[in-house]
Amino acid sequence: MASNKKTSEETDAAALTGAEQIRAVQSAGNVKLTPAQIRTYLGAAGIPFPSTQVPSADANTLDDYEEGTFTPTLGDGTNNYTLSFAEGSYTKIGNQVIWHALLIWTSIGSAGASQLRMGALPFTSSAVGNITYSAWIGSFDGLDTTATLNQIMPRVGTNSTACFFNRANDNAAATNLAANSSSASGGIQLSGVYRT
Amino acid sequence: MLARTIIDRIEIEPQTGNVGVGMKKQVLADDGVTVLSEQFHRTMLAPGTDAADQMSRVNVHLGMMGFPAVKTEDRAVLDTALGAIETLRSAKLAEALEAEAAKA
Repeated sequence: MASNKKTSEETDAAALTGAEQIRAVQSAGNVKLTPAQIRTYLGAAGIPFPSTQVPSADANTLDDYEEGTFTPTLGDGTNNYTLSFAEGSYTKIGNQVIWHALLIWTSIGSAGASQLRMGALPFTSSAVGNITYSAWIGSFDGLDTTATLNQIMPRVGTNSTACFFNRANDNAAATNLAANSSSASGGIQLSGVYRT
Repeated sequence: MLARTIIDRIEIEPQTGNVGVGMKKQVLADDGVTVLSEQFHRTMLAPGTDAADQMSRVNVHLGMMGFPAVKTEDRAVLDTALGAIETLRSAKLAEALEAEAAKA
């Protein structure tokens, strides 16, 4: 049977008043908030951020948080598929955007051979060296894997609002997945993370 | 209760030419003024994007989520802003082409 007896540390923490706990945290050097700020935050339902980001150049400062939805597109960058369902959601934490999307198409329209891409991500990605940003597919129907079932690899480019699709090849460079190679109808569910 | 979708922000990114459109999906009290709750919706318009087509897609998506199309007045402001941005883009492009021609 589990003991109900509190440890000495738990007893000590419970014995402290709110202000004393704040001072204890501050003296430990774990946070840089003032007591007034902490009291405000403790009284609210969570930590509020301004709806418009106030960017900080300090790499140790969390300066943004936002949850929302976005409307993705699918096509060759000029000609879009006809989508019966296009839904995206995102959460931005600092400079990281975590996103999820579900797209179902009923026609590929007049999409050409240019690389298939999902457009209209909620924010523009940043350029950090040569880094591009990984995304991953949960499931799909109607993408051209070829008869050898090559893996489809999505990634978000730099300075971009689009997620591009490549097809893996055995011991060879990946191929751009042509937007006009998809089936007449299909669907894809994918997620990713990128930096702004 | 009433619902509406407003454009909250129009963000111009000079480095990429992208235009970010930040919207708010709001639920209002019966007085039509008091905001009971609001959620964000975003879309990005890269250069060359058919903005009218993209905003139509946004409106369809908003409808699926139970919100009306973007407020007409806000949409007019966006269209005006996009028109001005396109004019600036064209002017910058012409300037760059002239500079290239002068070098040659």
